[in-house]
Amino acid sequence: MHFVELTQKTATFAALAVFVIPTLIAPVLGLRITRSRVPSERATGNLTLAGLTASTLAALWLCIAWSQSAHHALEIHVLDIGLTSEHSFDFTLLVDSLSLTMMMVTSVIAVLVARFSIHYLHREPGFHRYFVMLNVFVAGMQLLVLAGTYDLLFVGWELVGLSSILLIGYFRSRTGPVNGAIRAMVTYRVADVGLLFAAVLIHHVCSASDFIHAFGHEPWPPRPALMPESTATVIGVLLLVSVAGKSAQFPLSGWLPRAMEGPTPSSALFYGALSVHAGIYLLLVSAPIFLVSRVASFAALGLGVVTAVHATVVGRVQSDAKSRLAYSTIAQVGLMVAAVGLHLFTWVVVHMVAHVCLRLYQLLRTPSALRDAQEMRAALADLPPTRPSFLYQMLPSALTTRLYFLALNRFFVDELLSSLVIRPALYVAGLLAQVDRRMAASLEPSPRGSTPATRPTDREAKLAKS
Amino acid sequence: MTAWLLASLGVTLIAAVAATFVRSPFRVMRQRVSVALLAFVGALAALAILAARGEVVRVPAVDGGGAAIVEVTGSRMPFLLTLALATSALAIAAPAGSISARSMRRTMVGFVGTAMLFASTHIVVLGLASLVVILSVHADLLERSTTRTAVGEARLAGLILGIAALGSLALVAGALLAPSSEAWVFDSFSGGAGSLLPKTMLVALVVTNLVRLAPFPFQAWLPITLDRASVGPASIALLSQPAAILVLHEAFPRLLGAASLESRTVLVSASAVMLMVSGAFSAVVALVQHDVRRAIGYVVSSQNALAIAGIVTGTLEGSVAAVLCALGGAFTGVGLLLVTHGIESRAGRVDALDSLGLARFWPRLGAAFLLLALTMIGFPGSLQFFAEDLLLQGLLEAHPFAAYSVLAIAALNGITMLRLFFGQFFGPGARLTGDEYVPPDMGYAELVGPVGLLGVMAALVLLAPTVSVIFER
Repeated sequence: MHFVELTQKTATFAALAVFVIPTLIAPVLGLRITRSRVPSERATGNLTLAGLTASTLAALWLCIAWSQSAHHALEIHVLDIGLTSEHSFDFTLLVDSLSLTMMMVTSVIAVLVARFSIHYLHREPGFHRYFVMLNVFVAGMQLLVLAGTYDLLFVGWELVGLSSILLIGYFRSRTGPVNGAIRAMVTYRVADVGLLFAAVLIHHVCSASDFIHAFGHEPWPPRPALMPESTATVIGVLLLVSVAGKSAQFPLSGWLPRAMEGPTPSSALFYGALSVHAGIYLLLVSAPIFLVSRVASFAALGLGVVTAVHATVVGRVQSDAKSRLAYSTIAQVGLMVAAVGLHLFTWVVVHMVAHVCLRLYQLLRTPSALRDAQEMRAALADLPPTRPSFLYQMLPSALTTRLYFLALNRFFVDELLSSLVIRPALYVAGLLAQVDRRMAASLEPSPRGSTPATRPTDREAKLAKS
Repeated sequence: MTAWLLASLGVTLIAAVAATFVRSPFRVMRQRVSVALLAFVGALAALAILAARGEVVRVPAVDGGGAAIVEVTGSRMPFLLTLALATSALAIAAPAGSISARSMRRTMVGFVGTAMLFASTHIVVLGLASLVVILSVHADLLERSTTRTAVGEARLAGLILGIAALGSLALVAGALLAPSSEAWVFDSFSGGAGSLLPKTMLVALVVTNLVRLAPFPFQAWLPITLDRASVGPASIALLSQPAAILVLHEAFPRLLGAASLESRTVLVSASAVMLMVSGAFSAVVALVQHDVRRAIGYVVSSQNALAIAGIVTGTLEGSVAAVLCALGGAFTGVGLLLVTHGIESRAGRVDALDSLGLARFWPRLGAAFLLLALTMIGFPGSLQFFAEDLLLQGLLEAHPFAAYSVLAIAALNGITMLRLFFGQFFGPGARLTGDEYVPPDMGYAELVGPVGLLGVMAALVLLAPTVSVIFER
């Protein structure tokens, strides 16, 4: 059929439409918020739904056209910003089986969540703000998925991160969500450093930052990259650092349960469905590197297994539904990271798509969890109480008590990070900040009639006066 | 074109003198808006003529020795234009009464000095312009020092700026003492050969501009100035920084040319390490600042260190990155100062750790702060993003350690700026009763400043290739 013929021009148009539409809607909605008059919820909701539906239709067209074409991987050069004669910023998109799968999942889920949110957030004070961020997120996620270079992937990565932290702090007049947002922001910055390090190294080693040229013109599923194993190891470990931050892997997983303080639809979309899997997508895109380096693969396996065990044990003692689901998500994503270490890439894609759909449904159902539990309890009232599992009975009681205590405290990972990294860093920063203050204090004029040793500071003088 | 430029600068100076006789704050407001618009129109017209002629225009020095009092080239004109734009935005955006007549006078004088720093390659003019900027900023700082702590800080800033002022004086004195007027020409330093006087002047030039960029251990004056000085002179302190980068871009290779090959390598490596330490120091100190303006000052200081590192590399990527980085830091810094002033005039304070929750009352202020903060930390698509990308490419080959430090420093600055945003605009904040008066959000006139600066930044992204072409030439 002629209308589904995939040419460079039609592919460019469709791929751009997928993420440009939400990109344009976000500032339009943002400008409406800043007006003095409160905009109507219906207009905001309809505009978002229309835009996301159009984006989904473009994605669908691209999928159908791609499936009927002979292309394995289609590189789309959109723009080339020449910064110097030798260096430019390539705006290149890549359409292949992996990116199309993730693009389609993102599009459909975004429309569903937008529809759900219109009713769920009705008359919430931040209704319009939420939809601005939703559009920014969808634009960022689609850009991340369709990116043909690490530079462009980083742009999408940042947009996803920004919308994520602003939605964690959605209930901005409460302290908990704001602290959660700051924690997520700091973790994301650590993740960004890892990704940027890796991207710069790839660009340096392969003289290209686009996936096709960097990894040897092979479409996905991947073949080993053409680079030394030692370099691949370093890049792989850096990528794992970024994945540990973005996809909440051990020991940087503490932010995800706290991120659940945001509105339920955003929790479902970000931390159940898409954002938390952005790290897995990065690993899948970078799979040729893990095929080269055994050390990086072992590191991925170790990271995934440790995360899965930790999250499973901690998740079992959580008392609220969203936290429990958060830890379940961390455990499943940990298994995906471990599978990347075992080079089971196709299995990871299947697992990821299935997990995205299941977790989205579970998180969207969470507000009704209490009623569900009551109904379930009523239905099972006649049955005998459930017995502890075989493993639980086998373990000595002292150990289970100890394990229970550790799980309740999340194995003290957050406290250890705080006392070993954050507090010493802030202490050093405070000491350094004293340098300027002390220098200025030594130049303060001494008040008449007092020696420098006894002169009061401004604060002391104010206290004495009061 | 030169007549246009000199006329607009002359009118600014005359207006500065005239401001002495103006008492009404509303007249001051009208005057500064008129002057800023005039400067903008002058610079725009000059750019148009330059584009039409496509030539370098020189105004010969008094003795006809070949030095240019005003040298308007393709590389410098965009900076002049953006400077005029930024000053216009500043003048229009600052609320009435926020800048006193005296501060406005200093701002106008400082603007002329800064414009000359951009426009001139004449050593005497560079030295005098640098002095004018330093004095206008420090005079304002001293006038507003009413407590003991403020006096101590003003003295510290004065001490540091005094080094720059001494360097400027040495430059002027050296040029005047030189046997021939060739020493007035910037190009006379090339090769590093010759007598002691040109070398001394070269060192003075580098030191003056280095101190003005506030790297470690000269970093203290910038945060103090942003915190204590009024918004006009503080903005001039920021806007004059890209000019210092331009001068360093000319002077540093000549300084290296005077050294032997072995010592040149050591000097470059040591400079790169020192600059990374300086950037890290300012970025770490910015993390624990309560005061928003001080934090912005430290972040700008940290980014300036990265910009100087770009120049030290001697690569094309590094040089272009340095200019873009300095421009980005200066313009976003001015925008953030304006927004911070808007916050203070409404909320009565600006403290990053207070969880003021201001976004509930003033969403436009919040949006403006967030956009400017994101632009400053190099969010993708912003000028700083491309600058950091280029800087990494420039540093990676010669100094991998420095390249990786850039990433860490950028991450720290990002945490600082977003923490400032969350601290001010999110959180429970003050509980306002129904009777309490809440000032209105930013009006359109006030939005002109931040929005105009964001527009300038966007335009500069488009100008980036032009800048690189000029450097390649």
